[in-house]
Formats: sequence, C-alpha cells, structure tokens
Amino acid sequence: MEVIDIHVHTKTEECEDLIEYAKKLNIVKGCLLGDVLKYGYNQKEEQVKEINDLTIYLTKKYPSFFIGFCYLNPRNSKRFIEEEIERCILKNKLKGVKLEASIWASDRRVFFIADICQDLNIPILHHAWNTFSLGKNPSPACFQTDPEDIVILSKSFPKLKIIMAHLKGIDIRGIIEIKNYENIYVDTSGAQPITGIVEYGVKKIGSERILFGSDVYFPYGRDIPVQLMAILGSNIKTKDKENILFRNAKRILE
Amino acid sequence: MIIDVNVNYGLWPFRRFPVNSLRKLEKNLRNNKINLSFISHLGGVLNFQEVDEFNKELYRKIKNKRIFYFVPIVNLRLADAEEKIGESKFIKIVPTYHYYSINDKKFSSIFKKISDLKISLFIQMRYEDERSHNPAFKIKGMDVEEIKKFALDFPEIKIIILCGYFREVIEVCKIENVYSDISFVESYKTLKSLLKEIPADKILFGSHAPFLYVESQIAKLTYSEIGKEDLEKISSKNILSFFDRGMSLL
Repeated sequence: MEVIDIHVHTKTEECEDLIEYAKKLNIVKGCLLGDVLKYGYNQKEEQVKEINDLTIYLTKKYPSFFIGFCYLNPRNSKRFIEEEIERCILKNKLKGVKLEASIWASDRRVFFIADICQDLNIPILHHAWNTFSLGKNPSPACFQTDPEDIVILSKSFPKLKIIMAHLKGIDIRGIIEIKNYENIYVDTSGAQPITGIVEYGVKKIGSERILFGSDVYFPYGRDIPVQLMAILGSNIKTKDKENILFRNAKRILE
Repeated sequence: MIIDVNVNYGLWPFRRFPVNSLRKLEKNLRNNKINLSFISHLGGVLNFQEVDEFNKELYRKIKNKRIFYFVPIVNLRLADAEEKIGESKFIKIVPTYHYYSINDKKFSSIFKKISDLKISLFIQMRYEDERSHNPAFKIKGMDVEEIKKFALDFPEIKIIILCGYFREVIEVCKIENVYSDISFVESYKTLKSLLKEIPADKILFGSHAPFLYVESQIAKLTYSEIGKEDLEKISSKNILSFFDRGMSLL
C-alpha cells in the first residue's frame, strides 16, 4: 500500500536519510510544511521567506519525493503575503499554504489568506489542538487554534479545502465539531499513537476526510513508523486505510 | 522474544479503549508476538482507596494465563501499604494520581523494606499526554528531579519509570539504578536516537496498551536500525536480568 505523508518538517537541507527511511515504509511522497518553529510563532517577513526558501530548495533537490507548502504568518503585511504566495505557489509550484500558531484560524487576518487560497483552489493545512486543557494562549505569542476556529474559517470559505492538523490532538471533540463541514479534512499527526481516535474519526466523518501525517521534524520530531502503525494497526477496513494513507492526499494535491 | 513491561487492564474514565477486555488484550498482544506482559489494574489508579480489591480482581483473572505477569499497584498512603510489600517481586506506584511525593520522609521505612527485599519498583510518570487531560482532572507528570533524588536516596532499589518522555528518560536514566520503558519515548528513529544518549541496558520494551497501539510500539523495534544485541536487551534480556538466575518466567 503506497503512502503519502501530508505532514513533514525538516530543519536541514540534507534529507537523504529521511527519504530512505520513508521509502522503506512505502511512503512515496512527503509534503514539506517548512521549519515553522525556527523563529517562534510570530515570524518576521524575512524569516518567513527563509523558511520557504528551504522548502522550495528541497522540492527542487528531491523532486520525485517532496511536495511543498508555503508557510505564512497572517500577522505579516498583506502585500508581503500576496508576494510570497505568488513566489511560492505560482512561480515555484508549491501546492498549498501552511499556517501554524501565529494567530487563531478564526482571525480576520487568516481570512485574507483563505480568500486567495480559495480563488487559487489550493488547500490550507492549519495547526490545531483541543485547547480545553492546553489553553488558547499557552504562551503569550502562541495562539492555539481550536477545531471551533477551523469551523468558523470553513463557514466563511466553503469551497476552500482546509486540512486541520493533529487528529490525536484535536481528539474526539474536534471530530464532533467538524463533522458537518465537508471542506474540513484532518491529518492523523500529533501526540502518541493513541488508540481509538482513528476508528472514531472513520465512523463519524468517513475515511475520505482523513489524511495520514507523521509530523516528523527531521532530524527530530515524531517517528514515522510509529505514526504509520497507528493507522495500519487500527481496527478499520482496508479500503479506509487506503483512503487515509494515499487516495485522499493524492486527490487533494492534484 | 518480546516482554512488554507496561500493560494495563480495566476501564479509564477519560477514554474508551477499542481493546476493552482481557480476552481482546491477550489476543492483541499475541498478534504482536508479545511473549509476556507485565500487567496492572487501572481501577486502583483513580479509586485510590480500593487498590487492593482491584489487584485481587486482576490476579484472579490472569493467574492461569501465562502471557500475563501480575504487577500490583500499591498506594503508599494507605495504612496497610507496608503489609503488602513483599508479596511480589515487582510493585507499581502512581504517586501523582495517589497524590504524594516519593521524597516524603514518612515513606522511608516502606522504601527501606522495598530495598531490603530487593523488590523492583515501577513508577508511573503519567498515563496520558497532559495536553489531552480533562481540564477538571489535570494531573501533572512526575517531576524528574523528584525521581533523581529518590533514586540516589535508595540506590539498591531498581526503578523502572513508565511513560516518560524522551528528555525525561535521558535525564533520569543517568542515575545508576534507573531504567525506563519506551512507550512515550518518540523521536526520529526512536531507539537509534535514544541509544545516542543512554546505553541499551537501561531501556525496556513497554507498550502502554491499551492506551497506545502495540503495533506502533513494535515498530520502534522493527525499524530501530540498532544492533541485534541491543535490540535483544531492550526486547527482553534487560527485564529478565531483574529476576534471579534460573527463574523461569515463560
């Protein structure tokens, strides 16, 4: 069964080891989201550019393996955001936009980016977590997007494909909240390989809206086979595993 | 051979387990080629007063099942705790859930008895990622410094920490008599990364089933990229060395 990993980060330009490891696991594509934590949560424009420069470089260095997303900080100027989307998406063929924890997904500044992505028909992959315990602002600069923030974004942009990150982080509560919003997908990354959540997700929203993501942060982060086995070891049908591991990502990224 | 030092039985009020019976648990472990698993009852974690009743219930259920090795949970704050020490080769304590510090002087005599009887001690660092706790029931993970002090105070007690994170495990395993399971340890190429920091002699295979997928924990072994000898130590040899020579477990 071929696999696409929708949630990959790397800190380095040398990724041979990562790619070799992934290929042993039948992962045929990895979606690079950038070294998004390098400069904290509220990056300056030149820092955002540097993050995207590495992503662009890696998609060109390893074109048969990496797909890239353009990282953006919604707090940056509108002019810069437009220029960066043009540079990354239109000129350098990155496939989507990644948003982290600079501001909540329900903030109007995110809407500006969402509007452009909806027009361009490219997905946004947005960090999210269940903040009941964590809190919406666990540190002053960190804005943890909740599933309910993603829903607000989804309602305003019903044609935008939104991939909400971290199934095991948004947990049962997150699945319930996004259930009725067909344009919200969720990736399986985040946290330990907790049992039952993948099964619950498939039961409630269907396997067509779930995508495999490891959240490897090469040379650190999550361990790809550990995260992969949380899908392969789950009690769901083979067809559902195929959707999660490959078909959904392929369809969204085409 | 794979020996799993971290398996739980019972209900957990904050999460429904797909593997929710002893029969399913046994099947799940066997399917993953686990030869022996150290198992404790979850009931006594939150119901901190009836710990012994849950221990007895689990012991009755598993005594004829050779895949399970019973590990009682002991609540040191209960008056009869010291009487319970000595019945088992291993005991497990859950200090954060039973709300005490292992550095509290009032437990010194119990720990002295544990040390004298050469009982090995499992210390549960946490059961779940703190970020996922019910906000009304937030339980902090065990403090690394608390464990380090305890380990130095009782150097004859072999301590196995369960569900420690990567950095915590590296820190506490610097102490001679501290070992760790791998259930919450995760990094790129988990075991290879861990062995750069601590020797294989300190690491034990633990799945933390049914909270976490056994399959995912087995993947840490399968894709470990470490030598055969180290792999065997982690999989079974280290925990077997806790037993007296010649003792048959299987």
